[in-house]
Amino acid sequence: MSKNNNRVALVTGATSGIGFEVAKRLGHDGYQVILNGIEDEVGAEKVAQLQAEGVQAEYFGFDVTNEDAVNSSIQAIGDKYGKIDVLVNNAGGLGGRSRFEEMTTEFYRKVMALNLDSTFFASRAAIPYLKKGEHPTIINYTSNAGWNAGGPGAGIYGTSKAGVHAITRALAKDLAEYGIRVNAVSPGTIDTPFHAQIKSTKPEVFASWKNNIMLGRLGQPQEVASVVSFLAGEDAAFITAETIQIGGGQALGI
Amino acid sequence: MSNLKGRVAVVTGGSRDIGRAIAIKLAHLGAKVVVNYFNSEEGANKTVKEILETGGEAVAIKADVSQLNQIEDLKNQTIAAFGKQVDILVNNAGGLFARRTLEQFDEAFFDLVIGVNFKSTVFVSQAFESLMGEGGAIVNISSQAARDGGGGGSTLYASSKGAVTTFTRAMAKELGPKGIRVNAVCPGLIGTKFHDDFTKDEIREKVAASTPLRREGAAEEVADLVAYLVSDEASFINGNNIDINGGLAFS
Repeated sequence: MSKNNNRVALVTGATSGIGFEVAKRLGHDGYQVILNGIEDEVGAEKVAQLQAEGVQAEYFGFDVTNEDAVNSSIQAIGDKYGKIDVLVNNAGGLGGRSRFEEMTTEFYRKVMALNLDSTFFASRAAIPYLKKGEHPTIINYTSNAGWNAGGPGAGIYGTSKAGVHAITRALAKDLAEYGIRVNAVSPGTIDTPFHAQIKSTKPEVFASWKNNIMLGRLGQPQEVASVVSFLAGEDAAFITAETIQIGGGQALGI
Repeated sequence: MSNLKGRVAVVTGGSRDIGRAIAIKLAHLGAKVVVNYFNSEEGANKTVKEILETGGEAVAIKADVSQLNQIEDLKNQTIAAFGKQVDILVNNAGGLFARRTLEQFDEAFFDLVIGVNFKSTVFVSQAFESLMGEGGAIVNISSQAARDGGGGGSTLYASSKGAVTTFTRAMAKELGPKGIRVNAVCPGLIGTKFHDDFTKDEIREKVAASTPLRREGAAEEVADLVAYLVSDEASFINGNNIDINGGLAFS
């Protein structure tokens, strides 16, 4: 879609899984995409792959939980392109599992940093450049776990994602006066490397997950990317402060 | 936006406002559109004319979708116009009719509001589900009122939309295994004849001012969302009620 020519999109955590599919999709939509990650070699490889497909892509390696790195990197991106039109706060993760009795403060802080600090740091740093963008928007990632508080040992992951849900609405209210829309997507069970461990160690459990999904199957990363693409575009001009579930009908009570 | 070429879409209440915008948008994406109407033949013909003039296909079909025999007529005329497969159903028909408080309700008013907003959604879905297969999509037009109880005197309207929201979730469970996705949208304040008729200007201005985006939405913006939801792009979105309100619900 050529109408996105000259639009700049930054996708955090974009070197694998859903993040890469989002970057790829936005790239094919016509955006100049900036892929963020922490593995520079993989980043270079992924950028080369997208460039071979005709996408304008660039890699910026920085740790989204490191405030100084986020500030300096986003400043560098914003100054280079003169603006940022779309920020996709995709980076995040489970960070491991721990029950509360044994949970270390270090673990707690790590998971909160990975999911919530990262969203806050990147959004704050991008605001001056989003204000210079066209139809600027932020897209965050929450999760079913933000509503049901997560599976076994994933309580802090769920808590951090509930935080992302709230900061999405708070950012939407705060930034609306600049015309910056802020929404979230809430992927259900998507077939990605996020589930690689359970897929290999407990294949029967993994196979049973589809039974809880009304469409009878897991989602694909491309199906998340298509929703991000929609929210990033002008067709979503009156949608802000909203969280869209992409779960095939998995979590209907929310 | 995904191409809807060759698909057949039925839009109830397509003569004006959001329904009209949806019918036009789906037709522009290539769908053959049934523009259902009841009160405004002129409006429906205008919608169809606009579609035909831009190279699309559409027919206007009159039916009161709160009446089962007329729903059957709508189904038969749809088959006559476009054949036995329907891919997209948008249950848009609805109305507020009047602002009334609890003590002013009577049975006829209850039946009217619940009939046009909820009964129609149930029985139009029932009629057309048999014509829909894998890849089909239903979108119900719910409302911000389903979330917050509605503005003054719109209790029955809000309640009927609450029923539409719950029906959407239940249908997503029932029809998901057949590959038919069911979702709803919950518009906030959209600049339409609906509000010209039932909402005072000063209230509209106040609501728009307290909406984070500081404006009313446009019917076309709701149509864009509906068109997205019925497309293959939204293939893993099912059972959702998506708010489109400029952030109003949380302001």
